[in-house]
Amino acid sequence: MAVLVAVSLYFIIPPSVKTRLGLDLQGGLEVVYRAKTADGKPPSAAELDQTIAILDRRVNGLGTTESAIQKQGTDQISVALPGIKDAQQALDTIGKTAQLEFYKDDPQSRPVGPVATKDEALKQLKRQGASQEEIDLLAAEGNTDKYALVVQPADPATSQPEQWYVFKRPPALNGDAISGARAGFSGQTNKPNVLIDFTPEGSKTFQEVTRELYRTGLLKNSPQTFAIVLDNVMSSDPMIDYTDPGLRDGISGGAEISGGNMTIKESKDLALVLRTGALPVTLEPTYQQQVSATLGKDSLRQGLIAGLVGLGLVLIYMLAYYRFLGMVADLALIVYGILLWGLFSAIPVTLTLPGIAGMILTIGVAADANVVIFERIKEEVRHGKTVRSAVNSGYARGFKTILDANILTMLTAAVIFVFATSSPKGFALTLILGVLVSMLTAVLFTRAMLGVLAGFAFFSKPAFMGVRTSQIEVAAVAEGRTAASRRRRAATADDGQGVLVPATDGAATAPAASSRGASPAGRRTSTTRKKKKRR
Amino acid sequence: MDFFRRIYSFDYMGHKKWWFTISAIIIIAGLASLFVKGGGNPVKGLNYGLEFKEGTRISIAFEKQPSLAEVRQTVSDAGYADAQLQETPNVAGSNQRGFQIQTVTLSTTEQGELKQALDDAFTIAKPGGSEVYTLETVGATFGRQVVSSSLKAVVIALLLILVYVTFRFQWKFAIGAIGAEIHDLLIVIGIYSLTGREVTTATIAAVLTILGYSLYDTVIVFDRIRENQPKLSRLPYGYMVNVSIWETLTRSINTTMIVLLPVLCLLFFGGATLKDFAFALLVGILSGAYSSIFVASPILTVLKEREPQNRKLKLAARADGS
Repeated sequence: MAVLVAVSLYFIIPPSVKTRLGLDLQGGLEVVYRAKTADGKPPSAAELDQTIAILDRRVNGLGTTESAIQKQGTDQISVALPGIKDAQQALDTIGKTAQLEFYKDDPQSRPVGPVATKDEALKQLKRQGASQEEIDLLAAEGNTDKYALVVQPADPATSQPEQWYVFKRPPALNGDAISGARAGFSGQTNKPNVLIDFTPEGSKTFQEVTRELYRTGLLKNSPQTFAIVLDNVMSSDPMIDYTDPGLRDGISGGAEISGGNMTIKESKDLALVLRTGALPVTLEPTYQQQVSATLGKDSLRQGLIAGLVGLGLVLIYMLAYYRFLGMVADLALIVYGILLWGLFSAIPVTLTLPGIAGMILTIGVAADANVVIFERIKEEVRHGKTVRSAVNSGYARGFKTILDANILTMLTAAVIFVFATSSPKGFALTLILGVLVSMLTAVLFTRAMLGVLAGFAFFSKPAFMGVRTSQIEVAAVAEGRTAASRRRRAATADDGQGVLVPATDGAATAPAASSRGASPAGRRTSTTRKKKKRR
Repeated sequence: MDFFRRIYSFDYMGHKKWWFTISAIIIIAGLASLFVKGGGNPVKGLNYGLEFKEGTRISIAFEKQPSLAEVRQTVSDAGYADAQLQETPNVAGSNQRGFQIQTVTLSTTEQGELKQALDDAFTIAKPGGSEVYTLETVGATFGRQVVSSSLKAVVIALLLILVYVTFRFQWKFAIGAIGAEIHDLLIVIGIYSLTGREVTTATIAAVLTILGYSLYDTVIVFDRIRENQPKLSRLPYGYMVNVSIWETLTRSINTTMIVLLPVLCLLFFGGATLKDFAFALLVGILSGAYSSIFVASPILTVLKEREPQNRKLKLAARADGS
């Protein structure tokens, strides 16, 4: 046990560094996303896992530490970013689908556009023979198997208003063709942009597409464009200059996304998102919690105060009620606290507010185990057993009760852990760990302590555990019917002859009084019986 | 002392009907409140927190506390005229005076704009360099998901308890235990409806925990009943249950007291979230302690007294006693 305590202390110290705090205690951001596929269906398990992997890379790219990304249910993902400063920016970056698509900008691939409104774009598509079903899906999700609804945001620089397009799928190229992306500056305008590198295959396709555009331009004697679309927003529509013979063979290198007026930070985030790849699903935030560091610290302080005062009161209660035994239990409780904290730091479990509540509750549960055992011991002592044998049978019998009670608590906690969502989950985990550790300290540890102490002479005095000597002899007076019933029980068990009257208050005194004389005998027999049973 | 002596010798099982009546009254009052407050739909009879409603809630403190009307004006100017505002003495558990602003669901850009507008107007308080500002946004499906997953957890937990208690004791004990569980759950829900306290995810976690912990005292009593049964087989069953309750009463009281101490500390010293936990736990633990003696044991006694040998004992006892 000493070793365990030492190991725990090693894991705990220094607590400010080694205890992992949840975002509700140190400030930060938590988002729960609901994932759906591009056309609004629930995602498959593989898609969800892939999404989590991509999110993980993005979150790491943001430079946050101790982030946690978890699957919740079949279609939800929770992302926790403790300690993050700029929550807005982070949210924009993480949740982006980053579906990058390149479309040829000719009437064949672009059935509709540019038009001024979304409704107009849909109406025109309808006129071209798309089904109502198709139109509705496109209106709701922006994507179908056949079409993509794309908006080009208004550009204040050229005072060009917002424009809408419908492109035909599949695109000439998509995000799979990208091997890398980095933030840079545009050569002409010196504004931040993102440079894209293609995979060898992507590069070949891109070259083919641009060569084709060059030739079409030459034929039609007008410059052709292609559209770079990111998540249904047109981020640029570069023109292929057919008068430039250098472009005869198409463009082979890479592409750039200029996207209006990006800040440097935005261009870096976009590059990160493109680098980590497109999500196979779209994410829609269903729950978002943002806590500032100050509030987190306050919550932590309040939780700690509540925990310490609670622990203190329990220690005093145990000591006052069980005297010497209480002291042993108190020591076990302190050891319990250290072990649980050590376990939390070692695993490590992220400590959240609900977790603290769970921990504080388990202080009570841990002490409960000792109450059950000590009451049993006191009972046995009142029956006239020696302290030492009372301790033995008290543990043997008390343990059975505790086991049943604790297994039930843990069963429920396990069910919560499996089925419930984020905050109850932390609570349940704490409870399970707490109950397990408490069995170790409250049962094994106190048992060992008492085993050692049993060698000392003072140990055999019942007063050390808060049993008054008078209670042993005159229990009948002090406890009235309880004691009487115990005598009766002994009698029934032994001779099985006694005719028993369910007592009303009046009747209680009679058997109690009569059994007082017989009690030594009854006591002895009951002790022997129990001893036999133990062997 | 007289009171204490009496509770250790009270005929609990003889007054079964009283206990059932008392519990029934409390539960019916709670259910009635659910129906009345929910306008006929009991699910709506609770005061659900933001986690169950769609929208964005911002808790914020300013360097100098402006008036509610001033803040309302700023929020309204920012385009959220129908936002709900509330002054709070204690922003999200810090001891700062501030406001809670609840709006429709805001996008991240809108969140930033509103925060900026508030900061421009009143300057967000920054003790120790970080802002007193929290934000929560909840979509339409989140609350429903929390409730449905919790209901699933409750049903499965009850089934597991049923199986475990049947396995360790007997099915009649299991019925008693489940009866006590349902009793505790209904009481907690009823009290939440009656007091109109806000139901948060913390509340749900606490209620689920009560499910496990409230059986602690019941197990203590049942364990003693199981132990006493062979020894006191000649006693009427109800009397034997009485004896078991008397013998375990001290430990029931002490275990309850000891768990209540830290929970009360949470209630007094904890922040908003911890208080939510603590209140639900407090009600659940008290109800759990009560139900071990006044619900679980009486149900067990009723079931057991129907067994032929127990019925005979009871009749004999009645004849003897009169």
